[in-house]
Amino acid sequence: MRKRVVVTGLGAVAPNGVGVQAYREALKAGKSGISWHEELRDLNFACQIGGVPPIDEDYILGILPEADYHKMSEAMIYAVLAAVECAKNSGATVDPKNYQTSPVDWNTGAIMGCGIGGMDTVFQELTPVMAEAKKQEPGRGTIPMGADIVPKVMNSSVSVAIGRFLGLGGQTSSNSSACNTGTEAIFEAWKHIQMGFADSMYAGGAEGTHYGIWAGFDAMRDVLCSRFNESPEKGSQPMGAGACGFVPSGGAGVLRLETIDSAQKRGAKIICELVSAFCNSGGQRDGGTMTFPNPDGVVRCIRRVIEDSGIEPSQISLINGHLTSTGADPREIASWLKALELPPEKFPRIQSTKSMIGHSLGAAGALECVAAVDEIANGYVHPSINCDEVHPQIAKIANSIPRQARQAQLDYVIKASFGFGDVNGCLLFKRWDGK
Amino acid sequence: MAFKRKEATIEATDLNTITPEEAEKRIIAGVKKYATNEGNWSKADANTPFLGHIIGMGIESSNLADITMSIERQFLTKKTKRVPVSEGSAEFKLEDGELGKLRILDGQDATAATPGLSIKMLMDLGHMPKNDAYLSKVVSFAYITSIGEGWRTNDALKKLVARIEKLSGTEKDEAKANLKALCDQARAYEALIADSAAFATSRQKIGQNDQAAYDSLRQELTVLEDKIKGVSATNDAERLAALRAEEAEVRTRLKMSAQKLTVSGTVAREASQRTPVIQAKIEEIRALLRQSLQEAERALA
Repeated sequence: MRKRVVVTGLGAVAPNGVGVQAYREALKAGKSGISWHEELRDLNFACQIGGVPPIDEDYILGILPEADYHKMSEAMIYAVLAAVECAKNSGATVDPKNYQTSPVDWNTGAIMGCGIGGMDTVFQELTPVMAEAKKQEPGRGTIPMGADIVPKVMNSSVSVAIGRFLGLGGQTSSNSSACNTGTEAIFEAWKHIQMGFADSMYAGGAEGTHYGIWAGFDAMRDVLCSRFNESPEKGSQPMGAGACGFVPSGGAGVLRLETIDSAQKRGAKIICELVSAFCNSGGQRDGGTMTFPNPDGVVRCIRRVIEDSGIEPSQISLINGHLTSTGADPREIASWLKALELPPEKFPRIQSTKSMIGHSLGAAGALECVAAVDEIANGYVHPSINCDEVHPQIAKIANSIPRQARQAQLDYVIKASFGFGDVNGCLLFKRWDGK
Repeated sequence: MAFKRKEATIEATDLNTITPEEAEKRIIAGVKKYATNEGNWSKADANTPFLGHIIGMGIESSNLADITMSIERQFLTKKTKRVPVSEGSAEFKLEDGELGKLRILDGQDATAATPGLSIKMLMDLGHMPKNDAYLSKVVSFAYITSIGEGWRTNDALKKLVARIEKLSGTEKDEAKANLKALCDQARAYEALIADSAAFATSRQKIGQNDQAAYDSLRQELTVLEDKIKGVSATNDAERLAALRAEEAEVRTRLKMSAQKLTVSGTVAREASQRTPVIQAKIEEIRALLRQSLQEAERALA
C-alpha cells in the first residue's frame, strides 16, 4: 500500500523574488524577474537577457558563515538559501550560522538536482589557473586554484551543501535530467519515502546564472530569445504569439516531503499532498530527439500520474506546464489535450511560471512546484504574462490561460517538466483538507 | 548575471619590516575565509590551532594548503634565490636574493599548526628575524597536538555522559562500559601530561622509532644504489630495470618516512621544554578533565 506523502515546507530563490513570500507577491503581481545584462552584450551573445535572483554578497553573508560562502558555487548558495527557508517553514530548527552544533537528523535526506552545476567555479577559479599552469614550478601547476574546487563542481555539490547545513542523515544525493531535474528530484524523493527509506526528504533543484551555463544554448539557433534585448521583461512569452526562444535564468526551489505520519508526529503544518508522481523517457524515437520530446512519451507520463492518483482529468484545477516560450509550446499543449482527453472548453486553466522567471533549467521544475504548491495553499492562480496574443496553434485553449492573478480554490494541480534527452516528469498535488 | 564576489586586494609586506605581532594579525585575518567556526576564529590568537573542531578555528584539513598560500600571498622576503640542495639535485632551497614573493617549500609547513607556529616557521627559515620574546608566547607543536588530544578526550567524555543520561537497559550498560574505558584513557592522559619527564620520554620514544625506520630505509637505498652501479656495468637491462623500480619504491617510502619524522622529531625535541604559557594550557586542560571525570564517575555510580 502506498504511503501518503505531504508537503510541509517550501523555499524559493527566484529571479523575481527571494523567499517564498516575495516570490508569491511577485507571481501574483505578474512581476517579471528578467533583465538585460551588459556582460552578455560584451560577450556578443545573441540573447542578452536573463533571470538572476536579486541577491548580493552582503545578503548571503547575513545568513551563511563566510567560510562556507567561499566554499560554495552559485548554485550551491541558492540551494542552501532555499533549503534553509524550507526547513524553517516546515518547523525544523535551523541556525545556518552555527549549523555544526545541530544533531544529525537520521530520518531525513535530500534529493537536490542541478542541470549544469559549478560553471562559475570552472570559469572563475579553475580555467584561469590552468591557463597559467605551464608557467608554474614543477608540481605546483594546480596549487593556486585552492582546495575547494572539487566540492564546488562535483555533481552532488548542491545536495551535499544542503546536507551540511541541515545535518541530514538520510540519503543525500543529486539527480540530473536537464530541464526535468527539479521535477525528477521531487519524484525521486517521493519514491524514496514510498519505499520506506526515509520519513522525510528535501527535494528540488538549483541552477547558477553564469554565462558559461547559457552560452551553449545561445550557440543553438533560436533556442534562446534574442529579439527582446531592448524589452527584457517581454522576452519570456510562453504560449504567446511572439515566443522566439526561452529566456535563461537561475535560482533554486526546495520542497520538504514527508509521510503524513511523520508530519503529524512533528506537529508540522501540512501544506498539500503529493498524490502521484512519475518520470519516463520518450526513447528519442518517433519525433523524440536529444532536444525534442517524443509526444507519446509526454502523454504516457501525464496519463500515468492521473491513473495512479485515481482521479478524473476533469478534477484537475490547474496545469503548471513546462511551457518555455519556444516553438515546442504548441506541441506541449497538444500533448496535454491528448493526455487529458478533454474538449478545449473543459480544458483546465494552464499557466507558465517561466513567463515571469524565465527558464531556470535544473531549478525550473522545483521553482514551478513551489509556485504550484503555494497556489494550492493560498488559493490563487498566478497569471501567465506576455501572452495577450496567443500562439495561433493553441487558440482553442486561449481562454484557459490566466492573464491576471485570481483567487481560486485549487483541488488538484498537475505539474510537468520535459528535458533534453527526451526525458519527462509529472507530479500531481492535492489541496490539504485536513484528512 | 551572478552576484559579484568581492575580491580582497592583498598588499604583500616585507617580513623584515614588520613585527611578529603584526604578521600574526595578518595571518589570522587571511585565513578567515577558511574558518567555519566563526566564534573560535574571532577569538583566535597565536596559539589557536587552524584545525580542530573544538578549540581550533574550524578550518578543514583540505584547506591547509590554502592557509600556506594565504601566508605566501601576504608577505615578501629576500630569500628568493633558488639553489639546488646539492649539486645535480632536483630539490632546491631558497637563499638571499632580491626582495620578492614568499615561497613555502613542500614540507616546510608540516608543523605550522597555529598562527604562532607559522611565524616560528618563517623565523626558522630565515624569512624574518628571530624574536625570542615573541616565541616564548608560542605554544610548541608538541604541546599544541598533545593539548588538542586532551580537548578531544574531554569532549568525548562530556558527550558520552550526556548520552548515558538518556539511555536505559542494555544500551545504557554498553555506554557505561565505554565510558569506563574512556575514563581510564582520560586518567592515563592526565597523568602523562602532568609528568613532564614521562611525557617527554614517551614522545622521544616515538621520535626514536621513526628515526630508526628512516635510517633503515636510508640504508636500504644506499645498498640499492650500490647494486645499480654494479649492474650498470654489466649491460643487464632487465635486472637494471628491476632495481630501478625497487629504488623508486624505496625513495617514495623514504620521502613519506621523512615527513613523518619531521613531525615526530619536532615533537620529541620540544616535549621536554615547558614554558609558562604551555604550563598554563596544560593546567587548563587538566582541570577540565578532572571536572569531566568527576561527572563521569557520578554517571557510572
